[in-house]
Amino acid sequence: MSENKPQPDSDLQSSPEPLDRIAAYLQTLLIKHENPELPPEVETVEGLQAVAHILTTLKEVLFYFSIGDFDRQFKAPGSTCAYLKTLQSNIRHLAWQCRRVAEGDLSQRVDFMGELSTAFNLMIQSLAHSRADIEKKQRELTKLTLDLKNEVKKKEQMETALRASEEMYRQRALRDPLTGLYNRSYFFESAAREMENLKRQKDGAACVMMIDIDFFKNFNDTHGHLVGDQAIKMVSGSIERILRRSDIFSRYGGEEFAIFLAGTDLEKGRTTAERIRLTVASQPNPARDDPKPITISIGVCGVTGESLNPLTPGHKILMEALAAADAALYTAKAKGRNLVWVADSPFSGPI
Amino acid sequence: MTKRKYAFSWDLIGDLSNCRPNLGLTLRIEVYRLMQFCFRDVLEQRYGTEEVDAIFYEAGVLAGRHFFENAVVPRPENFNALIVKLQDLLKELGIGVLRIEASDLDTLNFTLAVSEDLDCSGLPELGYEICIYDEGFLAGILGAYTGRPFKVKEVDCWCTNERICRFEARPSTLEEKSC
Ligand SMILES: [Zn+2]
Repeated sequence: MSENKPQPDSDLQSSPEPLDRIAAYLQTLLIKHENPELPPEVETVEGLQAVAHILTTLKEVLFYFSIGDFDRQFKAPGSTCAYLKTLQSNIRHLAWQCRRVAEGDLSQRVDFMGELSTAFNLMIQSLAHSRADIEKKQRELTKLTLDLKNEVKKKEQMETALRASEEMYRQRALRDPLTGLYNRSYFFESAAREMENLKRQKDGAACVMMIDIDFFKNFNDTHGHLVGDQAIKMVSGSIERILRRSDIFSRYGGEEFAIFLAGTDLEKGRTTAERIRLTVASQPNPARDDPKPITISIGVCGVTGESLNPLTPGHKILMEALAAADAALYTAKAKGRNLVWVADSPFSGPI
Repeated sequence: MTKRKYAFSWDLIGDLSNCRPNLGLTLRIEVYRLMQFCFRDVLEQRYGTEEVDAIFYEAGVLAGRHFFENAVVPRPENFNALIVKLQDLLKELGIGVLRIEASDLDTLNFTLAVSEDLDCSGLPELGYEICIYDEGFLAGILGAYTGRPFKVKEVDCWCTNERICRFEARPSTLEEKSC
């Protein structure tokens, strides 16, 4: 607009010519925010009402578009409004497509929107690639985790097996293979420890027993080693059933057994020894053709805590107690066998 | 009617694989329109305007249903997939450019837009919406997909000088179902 022309809104009513008024009206309509009224003098100009309607609608719709409102329905004829409607339709469809993408549908593609179509479609392709990449990495990670879990499981199984085999070898090293009883070295080690404990218990007591199968050499020579072994197993099994878990029972030598009974005074030890003797004598003989039962002789030595010198080591006390029990066993043999004999113990008070 | 002569089946579309080796499968839009608008003319003279509109709508529903069953394959897994498939098909067959402007899957209310529509794009301003067959066509597809009857109304049309066809779709009311 040129500067010497009158300002449209101020001079709208006073412009002399109808054409000027129309021009002034259109300028106001297109420049100002508010919509002017169509001047009454030009209302009758053919087509002007229609133009005014189209322009007012366009202006209103463009305003709403400018504030992001694309949902407004509008009616106005002709191509200019149609362009806006197409744009509106495209944008609303694009919004719908974006929602679908947000839901994870990456099949959406935009058409007929020029650079926006290209950019949108590139973005979706890139999203699809990233998603595929993440999914692939996730699958790899899942597989790795699974592999790792399997490895750990395998390792754990191996460790368990190793521990079991170690325990087996340890037990084998501690035990006599024929009877499954503790061997002599384990007996010494653990009974000596018990003696150490006993030193600290003034009113404590324990018993040591030496046991020998009567006439075993004869039996072996008569019936053979296999039956001899059966006899040893029968004797050890019978004794094991009588003893407590806390007692230390060992195969001391060929047909000799040693027992340590913790927390047992001499009277109780003697009674137990007697029960052992009677139980073994009541068992059937593994040699079927031998009518006589297998018998054992037992030497018992009692030890009281108060009789022990705190300075004497446990293993030394044990050796002496075993020697006393062995001497008692020898006496039992001499007195006719199948007998319990109580030792004159260096560690016991008056019997 | 005891014996039907023209009951529609997809077979009537014919074997397209080798039917026109030289001319191909497309034909000019004016031929289609010539036929459609002459049909309208004759039917209107014989049955009245309201009746011819009802006939075109109903024919559209029938076509939409058969189109969904025979051309929209495999059956889309969800509504969004249906829209994507329809967009592709409508573009590929030259029916128009389909856009969905709004969808409410709870109420099944949709606003669809078709630009460059086969029936009306380029027609003179007539002051009324003309794409009645398209209304039926969309209603037939949506009905076949959802398993319940749909009502589709064209709210903007080239012929009302909007240059784009816009359709509002919703499930039929009980009253509409009964008639
Ligand atoms: Zn239309």
